[in-house]
Amino acid sequence: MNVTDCEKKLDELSFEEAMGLLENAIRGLERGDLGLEGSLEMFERGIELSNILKVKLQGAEQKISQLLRVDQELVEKPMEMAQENEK
Amino acid sequence: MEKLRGAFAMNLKDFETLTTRNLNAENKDGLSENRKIFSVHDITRIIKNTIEKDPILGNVYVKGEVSNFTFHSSGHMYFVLKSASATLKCVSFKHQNRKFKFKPGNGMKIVAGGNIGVYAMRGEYQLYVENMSSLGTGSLHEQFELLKLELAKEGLFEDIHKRELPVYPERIGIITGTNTAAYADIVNTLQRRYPCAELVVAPATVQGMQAEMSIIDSLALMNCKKDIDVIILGRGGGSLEDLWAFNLENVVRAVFNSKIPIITGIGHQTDFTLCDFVADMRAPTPTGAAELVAPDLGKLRESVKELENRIKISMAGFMERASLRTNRLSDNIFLKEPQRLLSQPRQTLDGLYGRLEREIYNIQQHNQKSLDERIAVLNSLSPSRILERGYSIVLTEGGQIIRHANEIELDDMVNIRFSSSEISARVTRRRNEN
Repeated sequence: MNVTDCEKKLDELSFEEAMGLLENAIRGLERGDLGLEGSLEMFERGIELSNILKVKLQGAEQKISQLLRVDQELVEKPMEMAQENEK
Repeated sequence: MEKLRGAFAMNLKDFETLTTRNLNAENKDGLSENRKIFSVHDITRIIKNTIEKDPILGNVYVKGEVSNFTFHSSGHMYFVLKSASATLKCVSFKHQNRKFKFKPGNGMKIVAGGNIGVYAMRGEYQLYVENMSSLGTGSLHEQFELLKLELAKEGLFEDIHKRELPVYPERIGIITGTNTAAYADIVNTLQRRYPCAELVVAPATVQGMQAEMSIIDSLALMNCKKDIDVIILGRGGGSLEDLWAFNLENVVRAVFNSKIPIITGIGHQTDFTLCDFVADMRAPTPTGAAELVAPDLGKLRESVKELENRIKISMAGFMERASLRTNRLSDNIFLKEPQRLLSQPRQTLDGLYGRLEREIYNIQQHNQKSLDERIAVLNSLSPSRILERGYSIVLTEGGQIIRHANEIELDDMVNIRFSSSEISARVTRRRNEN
């Protein structure tokens, strides 16, 4: 129960938050005052976080959208990269 | 009504007669006759033709300082060019304005090109402006310095207003012309360095008359979005006039007031605009802004890998320390030979036991001795021992010890006990010693 909650939360983290948590986990381990179980838990969490970070960093195609005002409302319209790059 | 009109016609007629008479009077003073009298319309038409057909006036460049500047809601601009001793009315129509690289302002020294024409309705001649340039950079610099001073006095450039840019922006706003090299530079740089961020573009005209409103509008659009982490305000290199929109007070204030942090990348390394001073960060070029706004993905991957290694190393370190500790414990002599744990207490116990035995023996010896002594005393006190020494005990027939002669009568029978025998006797005489 707790574990799934945690995973769900990890998935929703921003890159910055995940990075911060990973650094915390490392500091916790390096301090060395956690018990064996605590250390293992911290280690697993750290590895999971670094995997999430790596997925986030996998060079996906950059999304570009254009911000327009249409009938007094803000609209984000996807923009084509290639077309813009011809210039 | 008819009457009235008639009266008016009469009056006009009178007026003409009067005038003619006056002219005739002048005539007598030697002036030419048959003077033609023009209507205002006619004379204005002649003036207009004279001026507008003049080859010089049809294509002039006039330098002067702008004053009474009005930007009319119709899109036309009206102003006066003045020098120390003269003024020239100028008008610039909306369709011309689009071509201009900058918006004039009062006090600005410019060269305006166009033709001189006459506006009949007001009887005014004026310059119809077709092109315009600021006179050198001196005056723009002057304005720049003036506004800079004013804004600095207000504290707009101070460090306390500068916000930290997010380290890992997820949505990056871009305000620039979309068909420009600056746009391509920004997008390409971000695509190379940090493709995981989303780019949100609010296109803006970044030069010319429209630039002021366009940039302000794009900034407003961006600020309507809550999820944009940082804005790049960019424009490629150009002359001071080209970049002038970024020195306009309204634009500068809009940048200052943005709720979203802004990084500027305007012009080249050496170009500084007032927007640069109020932005949260200034980059020398659009590419530079894109580089500063997002981390490098390759380096980021490396640092995640580094962190991963660090956590592995520290976990391994922890395990090693733990196993070292276990080994140290299992090497402990008492764990290896637990009986050793008992040997010392046992020795102590043995010592104690010996002492105890000795004590008990001593006590016994002591007791035995005192017992013997007591037995001896006891023996010495025993009545039989006394009887052995020659004493005897006299008892009544009932067996009671007689301690005094009064206790018996004459002829009473008594028993006399010796140490190991007894006799019976009769009392024949009784005598008290006292």
